[in-house]
Order: sequence, then structure tokens, then C-alpha cells
Amino acid sequence: MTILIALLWLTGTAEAGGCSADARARVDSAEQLMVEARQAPAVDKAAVLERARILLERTLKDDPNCRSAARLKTKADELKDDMEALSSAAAREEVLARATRYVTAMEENGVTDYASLEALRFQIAALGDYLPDDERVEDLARRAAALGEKG
Amino acid sequence: MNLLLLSLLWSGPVSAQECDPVPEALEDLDAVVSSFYGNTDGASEYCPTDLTQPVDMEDADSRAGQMDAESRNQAAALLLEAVSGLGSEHVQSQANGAALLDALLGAGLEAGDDISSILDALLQLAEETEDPLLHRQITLNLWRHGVEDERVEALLEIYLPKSPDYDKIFADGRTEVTAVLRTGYDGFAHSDIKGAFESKGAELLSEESNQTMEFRYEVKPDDPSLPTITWTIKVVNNSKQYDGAFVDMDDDELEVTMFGDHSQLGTSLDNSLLKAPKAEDSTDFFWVDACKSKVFTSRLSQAFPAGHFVYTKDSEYFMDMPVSYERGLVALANRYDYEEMRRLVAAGSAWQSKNYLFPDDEQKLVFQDQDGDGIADAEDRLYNVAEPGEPSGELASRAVHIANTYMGYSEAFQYYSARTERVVEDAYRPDGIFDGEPDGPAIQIERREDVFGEEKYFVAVNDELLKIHQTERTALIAAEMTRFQSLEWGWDEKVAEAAGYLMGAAVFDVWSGGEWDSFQDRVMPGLELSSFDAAEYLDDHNFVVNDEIYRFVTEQMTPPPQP
Repeated sequence: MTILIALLWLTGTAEAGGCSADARARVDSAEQLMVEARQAPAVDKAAVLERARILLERTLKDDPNCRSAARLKTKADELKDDMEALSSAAAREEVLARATRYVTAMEENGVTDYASLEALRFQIAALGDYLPDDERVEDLARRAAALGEKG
Repeated sequence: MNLLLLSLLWSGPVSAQECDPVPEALEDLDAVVSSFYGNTDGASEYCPTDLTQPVDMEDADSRAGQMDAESRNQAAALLLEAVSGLGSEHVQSQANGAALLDALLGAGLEAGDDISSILDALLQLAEETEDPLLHRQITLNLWRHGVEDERVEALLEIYLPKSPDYDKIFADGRTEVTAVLRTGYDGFAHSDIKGAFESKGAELLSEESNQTMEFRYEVKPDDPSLPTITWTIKVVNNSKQYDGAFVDMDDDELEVTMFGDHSQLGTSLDNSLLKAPKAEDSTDFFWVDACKSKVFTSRLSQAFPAGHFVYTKDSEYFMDMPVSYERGLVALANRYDYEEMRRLVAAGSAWQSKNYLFPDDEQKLVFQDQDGDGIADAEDRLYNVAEPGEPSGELASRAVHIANTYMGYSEAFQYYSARTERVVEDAYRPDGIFDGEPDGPAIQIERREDVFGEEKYFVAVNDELLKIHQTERTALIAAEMTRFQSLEWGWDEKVAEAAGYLMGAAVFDVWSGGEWDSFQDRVMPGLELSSFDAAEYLDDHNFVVNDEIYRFVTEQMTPPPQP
């Protein structure tokens, strides 16, 4: 009887908070990802957080009663919008910086590849959709347009 | 054949017109279809030999709708029995049987009947058929009806797979896996492949300037129960071997590929397709990372019907290519399904979030035309068995999508799309082939709701266009679609004509081949611009900008004053 009680106690510990041992390992991993998301460069934050959210969703699917997974998932969900905004803004800044480098290089060296210039113009136009009224984008669009003028 | 049941359905002589005798093998099916038709209006229009031709679905729907629930169920059982006995040489008749069952199912669902026996009949037919396209047709018809059933879900997994084929990618539990990235000189020059992979911890193993790179990239999955995957990423300059994009499709060691290069508006993979190995069962994960690569869908899905292709819906930039691929490899190592992969690739991206069509996306059916009848599979309820020697209607469906894509690039149309909230991109759907005259209209357009409940323009193509060069065919379709769209926006007729002409000229500007003079005579008789001058005009005045079209009309289309 004592042994049975001890076994039940051990099982209860292993399943603490409704989490299996696998679930607890996944929750630990997700927690680590959330720490990484905070420390990661802005451009990567949303992707790292998304990995944590996916892992927690999978955990809850297998162990719906795992309370620590549910708590962490709530936290991760709360962070999502902020990190998404931070990463998207950083990603667009990277695109803008790179496009600016290309335009500058074409201004200095001349245009040798009109297909690339056309692609660059589309890219700058797309940036304009996401960064309306951004003077840097407008200026870059003007510079890219001037590059294609003939005669 | 159960004559008692037949007599319940059949109500007298069906064929009032002169008909050829029915082939012996089709007698049972004829008896069922006769009864199917005999109890409904328009029976005199049926001939047994119709069984060998694609059935008229509108007619079938009408007849199925006139039956009561019991008759529908009985007809379904009889149809199954008759079709089951047919040999593989009667695929069109089998397909017609499946289509009539589909009509019965639709009518049953609409009436709120218990459709289980009709569903069972369709599932049995799917199981029995040896024709993969008929199997696919039955499955997609069930998808279109939104039938919720585990057996249907299992069938759909083949055509709209929810997850990559991990049994192949990580076959025999392998953890050292090769992934290929095929790009061109612009890919090497403009995408910062090295930066994208090295910033995530990949190690550059070797590099030959602008030709090859090889990385070792270790991905430790977030789930501790999954093994660490070590990717060897081979970056290859595809320009050296421009016909080689698909050479690995039959290689069991290479299951993960990205093609990242220019699209050439749907032609850059033509040579690769010609040289592609036969690999109909290949479930390779293959990312087609070119601008608007959706226009490749119809050909790639025909060549590799089981392939897991990722397409782009809109423009794709070289710098997005390695970023998306790296995330794709992380997703694969984590054994994500496509919904999870979509989320990871999109997370915090500059703009890629909506640009990819993953293999589970139903929208890809809009761009597929597996039976080559010119109708988008999303809308196509009938498997039309191709006639030997006849040109494939896929040429038409592809041309409609590419013409629509050209319209999406037009600055004037982008401007008007934004103002009217009616986006031109993907607004047009291929809608089959019609018997036309050599000099007749290139297309016929009808506006209606698509299978997803959105208003679209459905474009049927003149069968004569299948006989001409793809450049001229696409240009003619682009010209007429553009003219139609311009008139929809209330543009002046002459301006609409000019817009169409210039859109067609843009096709000639990008592609080679085709008869420019023939195109010009047909679209704008009397105008005598060389294709070179038309291309120059496009270069000088941006791509079909509205104000410039007015100038074009004034300068080019107004006859000079007579002395």
C-alpha cells in the first residue's frame, strides 16, 4: 500500500500542473525562445517568438491540461503584436538601406543592367506602400526614376 | 443491372432524335443515363454516344435538381454499378458518370438530403479508378462541395497536403540533409545569400565567385524530442545550366530545392521543363521563388502532380530569397506543417507575409488545369479526357494568367485598382475554350462569382488561338482583357483600344517569337508601328500609364491631316 501511494505521488509529481515530462521539456524550450526573442536583433524578434508560440500550441494540443504551457502561451500572445511591429519596421529599414546602396552605386557607376533597375524601382514602390509619406523613400524613388532617363 | 430500379427511374423512350447505336460496353451506363435523363426535361436531347463526350454539367445539374431524394440515391447506385464495370479505355464515360454523381450530390446537398449513399458511391469510384486525373477530379469535386468527412480529408491530403513529406525528406531517420538553391547572376549579386545564412549561424564551406557556395547549417529543433538537422546548402548558379531547375526531382537524396531567379513572366523555366526527368510521384519540396511564380503552376503541377511547390503571388525580390529559404529550412527541421511554416516565414517580415502560396493553399487550384481543358481546376467540375493530337487547353489557361499578370504590372491599372478597390491582379480566371473563327474575337468574358465567393471575370479563349505562337496568343488575350477592363472603368473606347494594344506590345517586348504584324493588324488595323517602335514607346512612357495612353492615341492613332 505504501509503495502504491509512493508511486501515485511520484506520478503526480511527474505530471505536475497537468504537464507530462515531454511537455515540461517543451515549455522550458519555449521559455528559452522567449528570452532569445527579447535579446535578438529587432529584425529577428518576431520569428523567434513565433517559434515559441508554435511550440506551445503543439504542447497544448498534446497536453491540453498543461497549465504552465497555457500561461506561457498567453504571455507569448501578448508580446506578438509589439514584436511583429518591431521586426517588420527593422526589416523595412534593412530593405531601404540596401536599396539606397544600390541606387547610390548606380548613380556613381552608371546603369548597366536595366532589368535590375526596374526591379529596384518596383521594390522602392513596394516600400512606399508600407512607408507612406516617408521622405527617404520618396527621395529614393525620385533618384531611381532619374537613373532611367535617357538622352 | 437492376431492372426494377431502372424502371422506377425510366419513363419511356428517351431519344427522339436520330442517334448512333451505343457501343456495347456502354449499354449499362446508357441505360442508367437514359433513365436519369428520361425523368427530366429535355430528354430528347440525349444520345447514347454523348457518353463518350464530356457531359454538359449545367444540364446534369438541372436534371439532378428535378429528381426527388429517393430517385437521386437510386440513380447514384445504378451509375456506380454501370461505371464500375467499364474498362480503362472508357475514361471519358467514367468521368461523365463521376460528373453525374457530382450533380446528384450537389442537388442532394441543396435539398438537405442524406447524401451518404451518393458520397459512398463517389468515394468507391475514386478508389476503383486507375486514372489519376479522374481520382483528382472526384476529390476536388468533393472539396468544392465542402463535404466534411474523414475519408474526403484523407483524399484531399494528396492534392492539398497539409504538411511536407517528412518521410521522404528525412528518409530512414537521416539528419544530414542536402538542400539546393538554384539562382542566377542577379541572385548572387543582389540577394546577400552569404549574409542571410551566416547571420543565422551557417558556416560557409566553399565558394566559387558567382558560381557556387556551400554552407553547413545546423538547426536544433525547438522541440527537444526532435533530432538536430544538419543542412548542407548547395547554392548553384543556374545560368550555367539554365535547363537544370528540375534535374533533382527524381533524386531521392535531394528532396528540398529553391529556384530563385527571374520569372521572365512565366517562361524562365520552359527549358528546364523540357529537360525535366519523369517524376510523377515526386513529393519534393520545391520553392519557386521568382516574381509572380503562380504563372508556372499549371505546367509544374502537370509535370509533377504530387510535388510540394511553393509559389509567389506577387513580385519577389532577390533579397527575400535566402531569408525565406533559411526560415523554410528551420521550419522543415522543426517538422512544421504548412500553416506553421507560413507563420514562421511571414513573422516580422518586410512584406513577404502574404506573398507565398504554400502547397496546402486552395488558391493554387485557380492556377492549375490538370486535364488541359482551359478551365481553372478550382472551378472545373468535369474531367475532360484530352483528345490525342489536339493542342492542350492549358495553353489558354496559362495565357490568361500571364496576361492578367501583365495587367498587374501596369501602372495605370495599379492606380485605378487602388482608386476603385477593384484589384486587377488575379481578377481574371480561365474559363475554357470556345469554337471560334480564325479572325474572330480572341476571348469571351463573363463576370460571375468564383468558387471562393468573389466576383471575377471568366475568360474563355478562341480555340484558333491554340494554334498560334504563345507570344501572339498571350498578347491577343492581354490586349482584349485590357480593353475590356478599361471599358469597365469607363475609359473612352479609343483609349481602351490603345491600352489593349500597348499591353499586347508589352508581351512582345518581353518575349520573343510570334507574328507582330498579325497581332497589330488584328488589334489595331491601320496602325503601322514596328514592334521595335512599340517597345521604345513603352520604355519612354513607362508601362501603359493612363495619361500616356491619351498621348499615344493623339500622336499615333489620329490620322495626319490630308494635304
